[in-house]
This record gives sequence, C-alpha cells and structure tokens, in this order.
Amino acid sequence: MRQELIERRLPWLILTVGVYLVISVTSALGILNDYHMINIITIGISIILGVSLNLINGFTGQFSLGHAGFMAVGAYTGAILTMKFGFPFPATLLCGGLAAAVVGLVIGLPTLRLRGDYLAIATLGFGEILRVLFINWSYVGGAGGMVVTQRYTNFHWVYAMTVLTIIVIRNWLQSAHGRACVAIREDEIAASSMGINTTLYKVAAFILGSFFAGVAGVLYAHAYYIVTPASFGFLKSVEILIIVVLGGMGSISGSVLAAIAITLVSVIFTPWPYLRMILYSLALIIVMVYRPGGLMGVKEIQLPALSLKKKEGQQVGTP
Amino acid sequence: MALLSTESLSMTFGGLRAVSNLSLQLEMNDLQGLIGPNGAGKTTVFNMLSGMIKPTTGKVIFDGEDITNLPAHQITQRGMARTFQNIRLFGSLTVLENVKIAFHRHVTYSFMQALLQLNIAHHEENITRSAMDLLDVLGLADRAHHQANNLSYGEQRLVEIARAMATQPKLLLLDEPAAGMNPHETEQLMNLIGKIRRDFDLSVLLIEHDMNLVMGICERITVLDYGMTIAEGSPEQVRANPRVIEAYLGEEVV
Repeated sequence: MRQELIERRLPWLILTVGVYLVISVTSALGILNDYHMINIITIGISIILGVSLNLINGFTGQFSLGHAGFMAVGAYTGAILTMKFGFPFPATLLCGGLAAAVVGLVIGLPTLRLRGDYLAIATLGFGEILRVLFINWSYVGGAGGMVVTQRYTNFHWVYAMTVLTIIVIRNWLQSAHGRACVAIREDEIAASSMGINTTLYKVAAFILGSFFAGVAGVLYAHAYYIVTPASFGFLKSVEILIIVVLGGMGSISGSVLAAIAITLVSVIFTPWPYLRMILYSLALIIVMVYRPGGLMGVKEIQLPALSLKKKEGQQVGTP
Repeated sequence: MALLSTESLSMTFGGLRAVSNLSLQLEMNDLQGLIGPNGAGKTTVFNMLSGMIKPTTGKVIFDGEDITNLPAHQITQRGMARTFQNIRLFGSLTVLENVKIAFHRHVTYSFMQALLQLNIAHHEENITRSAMDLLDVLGLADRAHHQANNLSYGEQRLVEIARAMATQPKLLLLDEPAAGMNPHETEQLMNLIGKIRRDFDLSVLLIEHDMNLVMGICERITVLDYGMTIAEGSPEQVRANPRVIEAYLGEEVV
C-alpha cells in the first residue's frame, strides 16, 4: 500500500521539482528575463486564486462572486504588516491568509446556512463594500493605493505557495471531509440525510478557499509594489471565476491549466489591446461551445505511476 | 418502549392539512408499512420524521428522545436513515463514492489531519472496505466504479438503500423502494429488505404503492388518506377494513 502510494506520487514529485529547477536555472542563466519572471509570478498567483475558488464554486457548489475581495483583504493585511509593522514575509503570508479566512467566516456563516444563491449576492455586495472601504481609508492610502517598497514576492515564494495550495486542497478533497463537500454540491438534501452537517462543510470550504485567496493577495501586494482598491473590483472576481469555469468546475488540474492559458493569452496579445479582448472572448465562447464542462470537466490529469521494483524485461521508469 | 413514536403530528402547508394528528408507533425490529393513495401525506410524514421539514404541531420521539426540532443530519447521527422517492443520488460520483460519503458518521479524523493527510490512510481503507462489503450485500459490487447516474432505475434505488444502510441506522425509512422496478426486481427487493432487517438488526418503515410488496412483508400497516389515519393493524385486518377498501384498495385487493 505504502509502496503503491509512493509510486503514484513520484511522477508528480518529479514534475514539481523539474518545473522548479527548469525555471530557476533558465532564470539564473538569463534566458528568462524579468518580464518573463513577473508573468510566471502572475500565473502562480492566478493558479492559487483559481484552485481556491474552485474548492468553493466547483467542488462544494457554492457560488461565490467575491474572491477578489478576499484577495484584497490579504493584500492590504500584507501591505500594512510589511510597511507599518515590519513583519517578516512568512508571518505576513500567514496573517494575510488568516485575515481573509476570518472575513470568510463572517461572510459565510450567515449566508451559507441558507440554501440557494444568497452567497452570490452577499459576496457581490461584500466586494463592493470592501472597495469603498479601502477608497475612504486614508491609513492605507485611499483611492491612490498603498505603496509596498519591499518586493518580497519572488518566483520561489510563489512556486512554494502554489504547490502548497494545490497539495492542501487536493488532500482535503481526497478525505472524507472533502467528499462531504462534493456531496453537498451533488445534492444538499441527500447530503444532510447522510448525516453531513451541510452548513459546517460549506463554511469550512469557504474559509479554506478564502485563506488561500488571502495568501494570493499577500503575494500580489509584494510583487507589484502597490495595492489599490481598483485592482480588486468585481472584474477581478469575474476573471478568477473564468479560470474556474474554463478549466472545469471540479477539476484542480483544469484550474491550473486555465490559469496558465489565460495569463499567456493576455500576455501574448498585450501589444494589441482591442484585439486581445476580442480574442479572449472568442476563446471563451469556443471552449464553452465545444467543452461546456470546461477544459477538464470534473476529471484530473493522471500521470502514469512509476514502478520502483525492477522486474525481468521491465525498465525502471516506464509506465 | 417504542423505537419511534409520534404524538399528534400535523403539518399544514398554507391552508392544506397534509398530515393531521398522526400517531405512529414502531417497536424495535418492526417492519411496518405506511400506505395510502396519492397525496395522502406519506412522504410528508417521512420528511417530518427525518427532519427535512418541521411539523406544524406534534412531537417525534425516537429512541426515547424528542427529535422534533433537530436538523436532519443530527437525526441521521442518532440512527434514523431514509431513502428518497425521487431518487437523490450523488449522480456524477461513482456508486462506491456514494456509499463512502454515507459513512460520514464514522469519520473520526479531524479537519487538520485531512488537510495534511496525516494518519488517515487506514481510516480511508476501512471506509472503502466497509462500503464494498455493503455493496456486496446488496449485490452491487460489480457496479462499484460505475457512475451512479448511469445505473438502471432499480439499481439506483438499491444504491439509495446501500447509502442509507451505510449510516448504520436503527430505523430505516424506505420511500417507495420498488417504484420503477419490474416484478422480478420487486421480488428480489422483498427478500433483500427481509434479509437486511435480520442481518443488521434494524427496524423498517416502508412507504409503498406495490400492494404485493407491502402485504407480503409488513407485519403492521398504517393507512393514510387525506392526511388522516384511517386504519391500522395487520395486513389481514387492513385488507378487510371497509374504509381502506373504499379509500384506496378498491377492487384491486380482495
């Protein structure tokens, strides 16, 4: 059993370490320049946002429209802790996530007790309230935003946090607690009659998703020097939602692929801003027509298990 | 002491009295039937018993405890499980996953352990094994990895029963388990219900339209019409009751 587990996970470990090494080395050699690296950081942040929103929208079936709001809570918490209190970066990351999680609890508890679309309405309002709040709060710079001079966010941090997000959410989904969340998506009434406390699990998934949105916010704040209320508006929430829908509601690997694809598309077409929006919309329409469930649907990418035992006539490493 | 009893249980929807003054008694190990014409309020009774809706008045006592105002999941945790007339499986999941979810009551590891995948492997193995055992009992083992939506109607009803059994109930509420089954499947189901009741030592309350099924296996039958109890007793007594014949059975069963 243990052996089998290791064999199943080894390919993922190799892939994870491999991608890390390739990017680190090419960046050190100067093949990837700063412009490339900031885009890779953007991809990482998008993956964290997409995967964490997928836990709420795709796996638990609760429609949240305010993921950028939780990102904002993390970003501002991070900016304040770094600039005003001089916190070390790891502590800032943790606090940003926790702050977003607490806000998630406050929003989630009253709305998730109910069945239906109340969460969508509440999170929509929450995002707007937050934006107005930050605009009028001079302590964090008001509408002009807050400057973050420490650029702590680098490729290594983003990569580590992205991998952590994926592993933790995957672990959750593979456990009985994650199954309870999926059961709620499938049929909330049946789930409650299986002895599942549906409110508890909806709130738990919401808090977990909010936590990682907060972490993404902290990374964002320390990557772009400045956090402004305008960066976390409704459109940003929609952008994250598009990653989830495009990748497949209920597929972690789908969200990862979609985050990469969407970031690349917008980077490639940056020189032609008008064309970019047209192509972007066109790409979405095409995907929705031909793959209405998203790129991956509810499936995950499977890597072939590596066999560790040497057998006659069988090479190590062949699937 | 009765396992389940209700005291003047009533439910009104607006001006409609769906159930009025129902008094049910169910002893340990009983197999009781609840029958009545369409719209008699049978499913409403189940919804009240299992906590899906709160009764307008009256009480539900289960295993010596007043459960009238408990939420559905707590009632399940106390040992009452149900199936649904309009099948409510977790459709896009496999049959095995459906049943594993229902073992929720017996999950002992914490959220933190789940997030870090800390010492949960043997718990998960136990759940999977128990779920497979249960599917074996219901003859669904070869369907374990099929998507629940793709099963036949009859099989889906069996998965519903498997799922309810997985919560390890003392009382099983079956809402029209034979609906959509052919006579052969219905007969198998009758045997199965008898078997699980013996093997798992539980009580069954059954809503059914199929007269053969109800008369064949139930020891006691309660007949509802327009929300009121019009007869109660053994199948023979119920069959002979003129009010029942008038309200429901007509010439079908003589």
